[in-house]
Amino acid sequence: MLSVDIQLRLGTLDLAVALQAAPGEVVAVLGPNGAGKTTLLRAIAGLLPIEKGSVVLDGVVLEDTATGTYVPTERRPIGVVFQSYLLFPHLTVIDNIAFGLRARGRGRTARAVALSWLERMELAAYADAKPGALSGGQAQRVALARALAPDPRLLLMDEPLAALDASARVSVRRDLKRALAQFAGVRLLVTHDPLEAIALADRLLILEGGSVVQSGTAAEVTQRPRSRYVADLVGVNLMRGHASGGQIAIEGGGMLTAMDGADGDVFAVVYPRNVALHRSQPEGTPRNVWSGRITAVDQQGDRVRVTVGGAPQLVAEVTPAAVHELHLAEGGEVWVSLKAAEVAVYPA
Amino acid sequence: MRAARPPLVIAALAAIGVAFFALPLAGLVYRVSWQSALSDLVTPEALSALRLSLVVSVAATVLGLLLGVPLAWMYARVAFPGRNVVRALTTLPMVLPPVVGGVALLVAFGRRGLVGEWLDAGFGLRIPFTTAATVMAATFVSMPFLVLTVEAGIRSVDRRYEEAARTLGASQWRIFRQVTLPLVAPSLFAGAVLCWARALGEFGATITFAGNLPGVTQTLPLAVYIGMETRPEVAIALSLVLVLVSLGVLVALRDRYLRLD
Amino acid sequence: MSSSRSPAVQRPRTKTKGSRRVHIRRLFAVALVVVAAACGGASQPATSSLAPTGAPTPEPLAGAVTVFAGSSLTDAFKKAGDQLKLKYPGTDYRFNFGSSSTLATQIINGAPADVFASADDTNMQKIVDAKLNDSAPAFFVGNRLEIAVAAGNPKQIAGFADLAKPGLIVVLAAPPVPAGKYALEALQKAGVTIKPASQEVDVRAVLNKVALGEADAGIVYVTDVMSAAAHVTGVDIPEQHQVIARYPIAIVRDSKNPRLAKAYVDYLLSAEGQRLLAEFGFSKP
Repeated sequence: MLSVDIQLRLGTLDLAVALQAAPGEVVAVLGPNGAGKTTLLRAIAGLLPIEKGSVVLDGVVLEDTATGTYVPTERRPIGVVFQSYLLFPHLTVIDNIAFGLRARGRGRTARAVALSWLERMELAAYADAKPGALSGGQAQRVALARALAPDPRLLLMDEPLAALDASARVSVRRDLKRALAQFAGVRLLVTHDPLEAIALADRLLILEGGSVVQSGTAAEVTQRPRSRYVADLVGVNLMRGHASGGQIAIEGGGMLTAMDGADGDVFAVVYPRNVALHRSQPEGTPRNVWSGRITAVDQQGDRVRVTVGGAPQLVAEVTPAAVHELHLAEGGEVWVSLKAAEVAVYPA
Repeated sequence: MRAARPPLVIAALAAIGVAFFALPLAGLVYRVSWQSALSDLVTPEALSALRLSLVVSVAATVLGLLLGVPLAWMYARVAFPGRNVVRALTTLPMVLPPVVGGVALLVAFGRRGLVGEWLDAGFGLRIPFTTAATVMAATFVSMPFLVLTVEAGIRSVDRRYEEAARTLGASQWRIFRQVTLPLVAPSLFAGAVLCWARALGEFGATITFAGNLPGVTQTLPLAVYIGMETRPEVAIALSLVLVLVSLGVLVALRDRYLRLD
Repeated sequence: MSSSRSPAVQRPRTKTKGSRRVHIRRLFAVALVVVAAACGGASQPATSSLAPTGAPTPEPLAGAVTVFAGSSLTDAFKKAGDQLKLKYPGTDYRFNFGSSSTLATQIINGAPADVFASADDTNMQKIVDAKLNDSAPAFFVGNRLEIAVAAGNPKQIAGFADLAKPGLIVVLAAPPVPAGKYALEALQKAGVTIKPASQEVDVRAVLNKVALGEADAGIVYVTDVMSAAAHVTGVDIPEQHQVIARYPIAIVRDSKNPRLAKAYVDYLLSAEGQRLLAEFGFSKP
């Protein structure tokens, strides 16, 4: 079990994160670049000093500013897979994997253990090759083996698939998931790629600007996004406002009528496909009707996303035929209608 | 891809540069009296100068590595107070006229020198006029080359490899031995070669501090200098040997030089 | 070194004394004549065609000369140069001191010397053999050997025999150097073999090593011991082991200022010059 509760400042980043990860679950810290993901990882590894807080792994205090405890990196039972793998270029693949074992005093069996890992990764043929001869996916497997060979209690991974090209990523992701499943310790990975996070992790932590803004399973996070970042990821309209008796005063202007009776500070989520556009003011059942000016028209595959400015601003998803029929273009006026039932509301 | 032709001015200047170096060497080859060259070289004086030069230059390189690599590591990794001043001090022999270096060594390690006096009084140890003095003089002038090269090499080592090694449980000493040093190896090699070449050619500091005695302190450059007065053919033959040996080493190592990363 | 100047630059830019202005015009005239004489024939001594017969006023000497001399002559020659600067204002004397053997090699390889003074005849002979002398070499001084030891002679060295004592650091000049050659001759006469700790490039280097305290003893000239009287003590060498060094001097061919070169040589050969040399410890040649 990993318990992290740390605060530190690095340059302009103020990192304040509290998280827990149990053995058996893969936790992914997801966030945009600059959010502090790598900083967090390095702090947990002991490569960065923390200003306040503690890191405890399996009941052993690795760092605690209150008591002044600090276990140096080399004595922490951790394995790290770096973004660019950092395989020692001057050592063979098998010596790379054996490195951690030899450093921890298990030199006698090091080679045998390394070889068994290579066999597990189906790379035994590359034992005496240099890392330069490996493909991206192979290097990633070797990096993983190197980190796991000394039997760490915590596995940290920094953007494990980022260094691969798109074609390799899919197959490697599958292999990685399988390999991770066989490791019994705590597994924590950081990434900016939501697909990576959703594919590999059981639980997500959304890190933005140095703080955790949301945490939960992939489903929970995407269905109830609590930050612009996730909303953009998932492609929904996310608004924040104050609800009272089904009426939501949207932050930034506008009113929405929803079905839910939740009151107080709320998030309101509207799926673009539920937003209807009209040439003239529609008459009908939808409770939310207003007009606005089109600020953007973006074709995405076989759908078109039309951004309508106003209060509130919304993105609607329509067919190209509809765009053509209604002559929808940037700068044009258009009417928006949205059923109350299609406004999902949940407490902020 | 076909390389573009070099601009005329550059090619012309480069050609002059080549001539500047090639002509004196060609002159040596031309002036050597080939008939007697071999017999000239196997005279006891020439052989002892050759042997001594080899021993001294290798010893200077070993000493340079032993003291210079840790020095380079300190300069590259440890921001100790006064680092810039210390670094300038240890680089001084590179720009100092060698004779001045010899005088400085004398003042420090001569029989009446700062340290030498104490060594003589306490241990009966006298440094000038010994082969050890020759090694010291050679090391004094050649070590800065090694330190500079190796320091640059250490600075260019990606620190992240060392971090990776830390996460794998390696101690600082193990990291130095098994990660940093191997990654620095090309610079180490280049630095050692530069150091060796400079030590081989040292004259001013040697003759001032160590003296000139065949078999003990008369290295090749000294033998050439003295030889020019009595037997120029021997001096020229010896000079050619020096040139060929140095050239051979440089050519053999050119791949290493080019692959410096 | 050459004093030939074109008329265009003769206008003195700054205020000069009236006599200087006269000198400069005369310099120009002399320069023309010197050039003419030099072109007239390299092997004849430069002076004979110069002095106009019957001319009452000697043409002033000018310019500079470079003198290559054995290092034992360092102090004496510099003083001679200073004296001549007083005698012939406007002249300059540049020196290159070293072992006579090195200097001879340099001259043979084209070094621009006007005068060469060697500590032995062997090296002068090299110049003569190469036909690089402009005048027949003349012996102008003599010198004798002496053992130089630390001031006060702490190791109580009495003579050659003591030099062979184990543990003593003795330095000599290298064999090609005249002082080195003489030293070996003297030692041979005395029947003593020593193992020098170093063979220095010239006799002054030997003296310096003793003066610095690096060497216990060195075999140098009496003139060297004299020049470093504050730092070294001399130990006499008995007459029967002594080697008399005779120093030849000659004007080098193709000198740019043969007149001044001759003036320098003549001065050394003159009574005044000999007195000066004797001051420094040299003897008659």
